[in-house]
Amino acid sequence: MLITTFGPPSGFTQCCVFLMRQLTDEMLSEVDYMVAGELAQLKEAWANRRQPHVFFFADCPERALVEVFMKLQAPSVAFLESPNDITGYVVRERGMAWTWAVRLTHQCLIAIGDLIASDNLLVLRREYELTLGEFFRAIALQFQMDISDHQLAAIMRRADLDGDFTLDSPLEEVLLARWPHARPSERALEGLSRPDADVIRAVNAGLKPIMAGRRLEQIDWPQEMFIAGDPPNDILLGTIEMLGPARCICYGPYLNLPMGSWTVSLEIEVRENFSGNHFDIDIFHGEVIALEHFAVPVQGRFQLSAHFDVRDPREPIQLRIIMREGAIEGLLDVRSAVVLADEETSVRRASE
Amino acid sequence: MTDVLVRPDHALPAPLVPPITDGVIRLDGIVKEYHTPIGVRRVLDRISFDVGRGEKIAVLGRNGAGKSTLMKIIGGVEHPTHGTMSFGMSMSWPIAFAGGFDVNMSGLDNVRFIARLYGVDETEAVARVDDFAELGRLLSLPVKTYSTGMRSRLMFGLSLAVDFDCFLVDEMISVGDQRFQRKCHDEMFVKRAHCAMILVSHDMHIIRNYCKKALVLKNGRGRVFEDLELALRIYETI
Repeated sequence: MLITTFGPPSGFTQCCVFLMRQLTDEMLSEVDYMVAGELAQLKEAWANRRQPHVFFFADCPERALVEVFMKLQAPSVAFLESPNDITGYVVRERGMAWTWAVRLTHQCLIAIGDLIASDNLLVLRREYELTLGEFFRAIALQFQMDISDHQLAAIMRRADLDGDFTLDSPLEEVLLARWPHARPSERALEGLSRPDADVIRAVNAGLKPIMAGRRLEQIDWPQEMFIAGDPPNDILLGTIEMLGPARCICYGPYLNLPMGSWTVSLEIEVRENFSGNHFDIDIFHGEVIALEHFAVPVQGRFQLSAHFDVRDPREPIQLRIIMREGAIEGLLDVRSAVVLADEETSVRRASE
Repeated sequence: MTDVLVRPDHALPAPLVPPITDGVIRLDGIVKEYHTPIGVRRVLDRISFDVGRGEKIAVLGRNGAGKSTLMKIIGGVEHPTHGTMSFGMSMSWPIAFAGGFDVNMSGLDNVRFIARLYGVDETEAVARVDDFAELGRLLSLPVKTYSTGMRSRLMFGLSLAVDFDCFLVDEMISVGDQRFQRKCHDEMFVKRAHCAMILVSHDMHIIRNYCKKALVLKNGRGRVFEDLELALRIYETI
């Protein structure tokens, strides 16, 4: 039997995978545990397996792997919670800067986006507030295993839960008690500054359709997800001084998009560029996939649109503003970047 | 030697004459426009900077950025359309500028004429030029018979015959062969190390060795950088 599970690298996923492993160990006994993000890794692990049953987990599977599981139509489970809770958990557990935690959140959720919409996938959401008993029974049902009260009690013992919890205890209680970096639902961003938390909520709000198993139509990339081209290459906050040699003056956001055709509209404002300059604005997705070259006027607010295709949802998108000439003056503001799914993508996906 | 030059644009209100500060050459809001068949072309746009006594400033910019026009304006060869300049010390003409010669006169007569104009002893001036330019008897011939190289050597020698406080140097190092270039370099940068200099050069070695700051020109606009390395990095990609 193949037990397939997906989920972002969050406390809720870790807790659920842990409990599921206790269940499969109790119910199936001989189980190999595999973690793979790529098809080649899965093939190798599969070839080397020693047990008749396989428990497979992926938090950020590559497209080829997703397609294998979608074609296979085998029952599988995904664990989901609010993207903000995922980001907050990653910040605490991995000591990661919040910007990179947001990027990891997007990468993992977008990588499994099409699976979430799949009929064969059971999505267990933190917001369901399941008890331990409900959780184990739902998993057993998904994989067509008959689970007895005796086996449930054995799983509780195996998981070392029988002293502190019962089958009626909320899963949430186990998560908060055993995963020190976990926080109550929707409170994972506590501890971050208010402006940072606001940006995280704004960027993650774009993932709502993915979380609901729907197609992503639009996502806004705020200025704070871009990186200033000048050292220390920090978050882009406010105005960019063009003064300096020719260089990449801004790049980012290193966020991911589902496969398909997209249009990005970038709004920038230039001031005091009396001596003129030229910009290249390109989109990098493994390679340069779209490029605009233009002379920059003295001042003005402009919107640039570029079409591009995403072939690999795990590969982040990078928008780069490259100043082609050295500058003795000039100010640049990146106002907004809005990404819209092209109509063609919408039609194609709807017919898939 | 102290002088002030004020050239207000007739269309604009007369600017205030800046006070002359001893030992400082000051340019303030220099604009130069040319009338062309396709309209007014502004080649210098509000250029301002100071040069103090003994200070050496590099002027950097691509071809057409306005370097030579700026040199001509500072040297008094051309007038600004707008803006003011004040000279708190004596200023040479552009070193490589040969426009001050009367080509029908001999080299010697040109030297005597310039010496009289600048109040320098004629005999001493002739001796200095003769020693430096290495033209020998050719100095007695009309300048129109000189090759380009000979004219440059005469002009360079003549510039050194007058003890200016500040030299205006526009790519002078390309004069003559290697030995002569070395001689020019020694005269300008070693023997006159105490002099101020406004230096247009594409030679990064000279700029790094002798200049402490730079004016970077781009499309007629200018900015002074106290950080010379930043100026050079900008210039390399401008």
